[in-house]
Amino acid sequence: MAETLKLTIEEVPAVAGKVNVHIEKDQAAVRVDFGVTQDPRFFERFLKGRPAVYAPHVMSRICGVCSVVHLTCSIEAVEKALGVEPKPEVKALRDLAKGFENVQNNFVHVLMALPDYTGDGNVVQFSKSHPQLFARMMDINRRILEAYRRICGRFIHTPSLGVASHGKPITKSELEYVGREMARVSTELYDLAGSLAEIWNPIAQGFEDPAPTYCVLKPPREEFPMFSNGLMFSDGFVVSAERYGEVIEERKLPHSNAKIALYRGKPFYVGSRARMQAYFTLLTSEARELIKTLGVDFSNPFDNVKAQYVETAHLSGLLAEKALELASRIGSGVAFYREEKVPETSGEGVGLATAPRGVLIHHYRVRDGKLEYANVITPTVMNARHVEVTGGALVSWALSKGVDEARVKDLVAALVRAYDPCLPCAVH
Amino acid sequence: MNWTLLDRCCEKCTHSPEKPCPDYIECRLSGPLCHDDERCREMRRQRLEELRYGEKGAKIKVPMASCTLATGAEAVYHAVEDAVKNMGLEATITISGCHGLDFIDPWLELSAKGMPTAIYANVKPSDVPRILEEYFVKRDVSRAFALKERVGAASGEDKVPLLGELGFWAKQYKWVSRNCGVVNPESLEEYVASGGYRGLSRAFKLGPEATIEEILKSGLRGRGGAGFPTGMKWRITRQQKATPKYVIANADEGDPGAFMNRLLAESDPFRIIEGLTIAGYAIGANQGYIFVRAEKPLMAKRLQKAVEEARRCGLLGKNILGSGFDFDIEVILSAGAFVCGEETAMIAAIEGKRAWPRQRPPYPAEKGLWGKPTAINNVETLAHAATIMAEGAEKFAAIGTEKTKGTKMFCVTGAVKRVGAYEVPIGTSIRVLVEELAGGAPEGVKVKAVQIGGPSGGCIPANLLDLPLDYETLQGAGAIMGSGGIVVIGHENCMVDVAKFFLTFTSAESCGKCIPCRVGLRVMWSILDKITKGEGTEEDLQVLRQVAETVRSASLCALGGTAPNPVLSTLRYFMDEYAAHIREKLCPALVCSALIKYRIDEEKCIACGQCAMNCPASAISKIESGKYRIDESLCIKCGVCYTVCPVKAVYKVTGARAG
Amino acid sequence: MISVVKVKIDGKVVEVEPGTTVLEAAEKAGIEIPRLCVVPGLYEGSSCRLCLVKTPAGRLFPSCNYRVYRDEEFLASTPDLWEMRRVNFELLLKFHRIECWACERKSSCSLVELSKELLVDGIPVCSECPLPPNECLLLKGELCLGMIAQSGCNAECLVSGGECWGCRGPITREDILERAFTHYRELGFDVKEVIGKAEIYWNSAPGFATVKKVAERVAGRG
Repeated sequence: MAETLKLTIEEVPAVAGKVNVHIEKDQAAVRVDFGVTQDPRFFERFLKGRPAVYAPHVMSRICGVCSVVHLTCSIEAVEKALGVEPKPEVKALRDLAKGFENVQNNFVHVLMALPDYTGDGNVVQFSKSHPQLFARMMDINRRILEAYRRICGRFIHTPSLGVASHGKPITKSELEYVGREMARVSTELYDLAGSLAEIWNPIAQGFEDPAPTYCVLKPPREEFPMFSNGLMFSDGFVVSAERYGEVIEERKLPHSNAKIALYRGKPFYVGSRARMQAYFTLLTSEARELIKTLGVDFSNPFDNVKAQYVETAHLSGLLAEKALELASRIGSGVAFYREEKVPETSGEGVGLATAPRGVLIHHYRVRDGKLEYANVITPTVMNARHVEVTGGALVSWALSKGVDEARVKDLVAALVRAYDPCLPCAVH
Repeated sequence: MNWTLLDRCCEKCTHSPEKPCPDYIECRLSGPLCHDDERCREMRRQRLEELRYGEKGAKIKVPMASCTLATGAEAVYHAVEDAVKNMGLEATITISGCHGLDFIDPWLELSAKGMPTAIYANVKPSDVPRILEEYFVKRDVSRAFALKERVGAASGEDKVPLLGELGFWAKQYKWVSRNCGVVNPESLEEYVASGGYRGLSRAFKLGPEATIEEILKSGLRGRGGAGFPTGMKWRITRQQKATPKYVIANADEGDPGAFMNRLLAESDPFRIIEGLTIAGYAIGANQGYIFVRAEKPLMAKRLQKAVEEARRCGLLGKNILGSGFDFDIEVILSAGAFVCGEETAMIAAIEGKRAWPRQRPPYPAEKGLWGKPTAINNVETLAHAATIMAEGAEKFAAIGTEKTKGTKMFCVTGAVKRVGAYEVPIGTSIRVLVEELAGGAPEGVKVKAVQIGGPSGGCIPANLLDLPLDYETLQGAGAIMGSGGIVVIGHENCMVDVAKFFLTFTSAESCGKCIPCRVGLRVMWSILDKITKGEGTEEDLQVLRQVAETVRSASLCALGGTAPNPVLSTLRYFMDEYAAHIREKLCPALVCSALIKYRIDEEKCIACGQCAMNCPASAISKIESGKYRIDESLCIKCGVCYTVCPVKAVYKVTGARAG
Repeated sequence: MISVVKVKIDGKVVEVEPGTTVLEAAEKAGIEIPRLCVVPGLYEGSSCRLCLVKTPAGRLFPSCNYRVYRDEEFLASTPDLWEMRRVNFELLLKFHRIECWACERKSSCSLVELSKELLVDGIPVCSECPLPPNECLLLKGELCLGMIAQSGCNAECLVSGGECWGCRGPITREDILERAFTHYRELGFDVKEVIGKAEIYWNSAPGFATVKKVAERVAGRG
């Protein structure tokens, strides 16, 4: 075993954005630096002084992959700050939109990360060695997007979602179509599980998360939450949205363009692995069965990907239910707009949303309708320190097992991928 | 004599419009042909002399064409009538067209037996009695402008130049305009006496195919501007199977500054009628039209009269000269649009539709008027055709260049001493026309450029004046021969302003059917307007070129297709003037009012106050010193002070010096 | 009497009946030539000059009414032809009264199609918006920037149910902007509000200065 080690993974492949990972080991310890090189765009700063109602449209542009969560979380924050209450149908549609994104993003990420676990190395190779599986998975993605388009139009930077409004006219039959499609998707996903389980090999079996503290949204109702007014931690602590700052602290480290977040000064994680544990009792029995079928080990950070798959299957079924429920409540050809102009008041609001990759916070202060202060904390920021700590532990674990340098790099890269980081979001 | 050349000389003559004699025309001058009679021959000789010197042996010819009428020929005519009556002169007063030397308008031509024919220049009505007295009574020609011949019988003869020796006459080749200013345009008899209708007579004897051959052999190309070989056009039209066929004479001369066709039609209309009849015969058309601009009413009137005369004498109608060929002509007035000169637009106008051109093919030779084969020729071309048939193709082909035979009439106007219409062989250099014939620029003016081809043509800079006037060379230099209008531009003209002037014309005359011409010309005009106001940018020039190129290549007809030429040629040769307007915001020629200022040189000023009195904006006032000064903030740049100042103390400045 | 004629367009050969126009032959060959004014049975074309094609010798003819009676060759897609079509189309737009929000041809307008084909800017988003004039978002109180924003995007956001934010940049032609701002005012929107929203994405856009200038002018009319 080498006494000292200095490795760099230049631009970890197959992640959204650019990050270099530096691994340094000396006599004393192993240090892993999660060095995000993505350029900052200063979203929190350049909207200062502009009408708050315009913030969601711009914030959506933080990310083209998870644009819906930024858009909707921002809308929540603005509505709270200005004291605007949207119609129940608008909220229901917003929930649906958010749910769809979680399903789609998570599912696609599973496809992206799976080759690490099947030995194919990358998606192109995977498509060649498992053509039918690949084709079915691509088809599922297409169906999800097509269903989304029926109710929200364009997927990237959805134009139809707004402050207390939903601009795309919705018909009963479309919602029914969506419900049917998502039910089919859900069934497909459960069907596929068996075939997937056969090829889904574990990575670093036996390795355990050294800092297993997590954070999720506190469910306002007895079901998987898309939005919430409170956060829940694995140690049982619950805090209201406005007071997140009491326990979550952001820090800027010199080696990364993104900040890190700490819970009471310690690293924590967010994402599907956290949610599948926290919401276990809210899952359907099939979902719980799926966890067994796939052999999900919640203490292994690599199994975040398996957790994503389970979440996708569960959520698609939930969306089908929600869509059909909404269908029964509305007439035909309706779009939902604000009845009056949004008031130009002053206030403060914190939006919390379940992003595909974890918890998203948008915190705004508004004065006379204009945005005075904005703070955005993304899931990847929350995971950033956790990656470094877990990465360090993984390196030690691997070296102790006699793994060589090259394989160590592969392992760390695979670990980074398992978190499904979104670097543009992280830096914003 | 009561008898005219057109009448029968005696009962032996069998000719009548109902039963025409094929040798009728030849017989007018060299007859009688069907019988031998000295008395009949004598009748002809006598009549010819009468026509030459008038019935009373003395003739006063007053030119009555639009150019001379504009300079007061009508008043001169009345003065002549009065003087003849008052003086009891035994003289015939007659009219003629114009010989093209417009710089001596109005002129008078006096002839008498035993006297040299004398031309008097720039005649005022008050001069008339004196002139008549000098010529007819005192037999003194010393104050004549020129003589047509010398007879050694009048005093002062040797002091007056012969017309044939004067450069502006001698250097011309009067082929098609030989009768202009000579014959009475309303008299078919004078036309025939000058040799007219021999062409038609010969055409009948040769037959249509051989007639076309003759025209082809001559190398005659259309004189309207396109330069298409006339013989070929006639042949193609003849070969079409559809009937009935038509011939049209294009008398819609629309170029500003061009008046060759007007001059011909007002001075020698029968030549055009004869040419059109020959054209009809050659291609097999029995109906001809002459399409005349409404804005040239005298032209229309003379042509109409000529048609009626020709009909009366059986030279139009059924079985002309016993050839078996029927032909008649209708004179049609246009409603007044430049685009009517375009052949397909003209056809539409004759058909009673809006004068919109249509896309060719099919060409009018195949599908023209009413969808039938139609040959359209410019009136000058038709006049050439008649002359060629009379004189022979070889004679025509002996003049000109290799590619283009014969002569062309050119109108020279602008900064020249001798404005007028001149007929020269093709290939004559521009310099000969401008300097030797038209006398070059007047005192104090320098020639900067020559605009050839009207609004479809281009500007040739002064240093290229040695270029020959032929279709190909001019095209290569960025101009076109066009209908032959030449405007000489002096150094006091701004080339950007000249280009804008032509665009003002073409953009207003655009028929509106196609996008490039309808919109593009307006856009080009507004850019030029910006430039003349000192607001132009480099980018504007780029756009100007781009739009000019699109208008040039994409327009439906030649109006749009050639309208950018003045702009393109001035950009090519006078870029420095554009650059001065754009970069330095000055007008080198001191024309563009937004870029110039009027000032008074206080040293030269004699304090007469004329400028102040005439200033329409009350911008000039007396200053302390007693001299006058222009208030630049009130000055509207009309230039009146500049014109009225007796000592030329008013001057113009531009650019930085205008401060 | 020949019964078939071979026409070569851009290198592709098609066989057609004599008397067929070059435009029809091109369609048969699968070559799209832009055109605006030919309406079979109603108007013989050759006015818009967009359909001009070139012989190998360089002569130009409008393909819409040039009929072939013998084997001939044409070029329909050379760069200079496209350049000419672009300039020509820009000329046409220059004096067209662009007021797409009130036009019955909105969302079915050939000028918009051509502007996309020829890459010419200047037509507002309203031209492609699927909402008819009486269902415009502006009437619902939603501030849509479509009247003053460049189209070419198929009005995607409008199709999805959201208003236009002008991501393709501002319209800079003053007469259109004047009409637009006057209309905004008529519908009860404050011109300042419109500029405030436009500013989000147009702050540094070239042409925004013109938009602000016209907005001020219209606002100043009281």
